[in-house]
Order: sequence, then C-alpha cells, then structure tokens
Amino acid sequence: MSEPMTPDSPVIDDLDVDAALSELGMDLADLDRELALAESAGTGLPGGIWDPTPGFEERINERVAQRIRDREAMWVLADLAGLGWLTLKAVTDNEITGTGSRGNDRELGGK
Amino acid sequence: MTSLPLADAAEQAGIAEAGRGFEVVVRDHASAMYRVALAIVRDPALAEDVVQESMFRAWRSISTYRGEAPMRNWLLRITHNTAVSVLRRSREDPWDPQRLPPRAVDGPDYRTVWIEELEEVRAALGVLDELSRSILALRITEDMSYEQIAQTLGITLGQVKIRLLRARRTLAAATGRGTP
Repeated sequence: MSEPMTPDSPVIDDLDVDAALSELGMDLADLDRELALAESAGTGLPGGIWDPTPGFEERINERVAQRIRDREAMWVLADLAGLGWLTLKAVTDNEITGTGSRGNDRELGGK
Repeated sequence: MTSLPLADAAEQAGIAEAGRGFEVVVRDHASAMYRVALAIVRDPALAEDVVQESMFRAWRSISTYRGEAPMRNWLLRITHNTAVSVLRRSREDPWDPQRLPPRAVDGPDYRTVWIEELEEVRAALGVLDELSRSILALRITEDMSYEQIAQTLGITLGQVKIRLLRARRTLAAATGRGTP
C-alpha cells in the first residue's frame, strides 16, 4: 500500500527519460548541448508580470492568520462540545478540500 | 504582527528557519511561491489564493519538514502540489481580469497593458503541461539549477532537463522566437 499523499509529497512524473531521448534522437551529451542552446534564446515572455502586487505579503499574512484562527477556534468549539476526534477530522478535512476556492476564501475575508 | 503558530511548531521541531517567525517565512518565500503558482494557474488572483493555501498547508504539515532541504524548496513543492489541485478544481472557472489584485499605479492604460501581458503569458504557458510550467518558473524566475529543481520537485535530473528542453522549444514556437 502506498503512503498517503501529503502536501509536500514528491511530484509524480511518469516521463521515461530514455524513451524521450530516443524520441528526440539524442544522448545525454546532446541533451545538455541542446538545452544550453535553448536556454540562451530566452522565453519570449513578458517579464513584468511575475512579481506580486503591492500589499501582497500583508494580504497573505492576514489571510493565513485568519485561517489559523478559524481552525483553532473550531478545535476549541469541538472540545467544548465534546465532539470526537473523527468528527472533527471530517470537518477539518472538508475544510481543507474546500479551501483555496474563491467562495471559501471570500468567506474567510480573502479577496 | 504577532508570530503565528507555524513558528511555535517549527521551534518544537527544531527548525530554526521557520522558528524566526511566520511573517519572516512569508517575507522570504511568498513571492517565489507566487511566481510558481502564477506559472501553473496563470491567474494572479488565483495565484494569491494558492499561496495562502500553501502557507496554511505548510503550517499544518510543519512536522513533516525534516530540514534536510532548504525551507524554500519544501515550500515550493507544496506550492506546486497545491496549485495543481486548485487548478483542477477550478477548471470550469473562466479567467476573470476583474479579480486582478490592485497595483501601485493602476490607471486604465496600465491595467490594459498588464492584462495584455497576462493574456500573452497565459496563451504561451497554456501549451505546456503543469509540471513543465513549474520547472520553467523555477528556472526563469528563481534562477534554480537543474539539480535544485529536481530536488525541489522530487523528480530526476533527466526529467527536469528533458521537460525544460521541450518547454523551451514549445515556447519558442508559440511566441515566434527561435526555431521549434
């Protein structure tokens, strides 16, 4: 049985390097040479869009702080109500899978 | 701003870097997380949502961080995984320029240029798969070596190089620069 996925689980990449090299008609030395050539050409993408807008750090700090406060408040409420661990886990799991979406973030004070 | 529980949890786990305070972690790493998120989801507002969610997941998962790799790499992998899952949930949502975060100079002309550039990036990156977008962002915006990218994402060096070469060639063709 495989280990459960965690947020920092390794990325699954099914790319077969040998097959890909064969498809490209290259060996590893060719790959290094072609990659260096491709990198020197740049991407052609605009460079001005990659940085976040002003106030970004403050927004992130506040939104994460709110998430943590909400979660801690939920634990306190569950404790007061005598809810079991499994019940609370179900609630928090639902919270995690439901967050990141725009609707929930708005509820939590996000933009 | 007061320190948040990430710092406490990190200190208990003996992780000095995070223990300096949550706001320091945000200051040092959130922008890099944003750039990776933006490359994957291609929507600035959604990229901020991804960073927020990734920071929260990091706080919840701090006990799994063993300090063997730099904290930035650990956070960027969480960001990649979060961005991919958020993107898959929001596939049906169209890109909405009205949700763009505010900018310092945000007049109509400035906004128009920004939207045009975003549209250009969205179209170009849209021809790549999510993992290749992540690899490209780590390379061009974070200036990571191939080895660092492989370590960050937990894939092999060969996979990084092949995907990067394909991504570069595909982008060159899509943007009309260089030969495919």
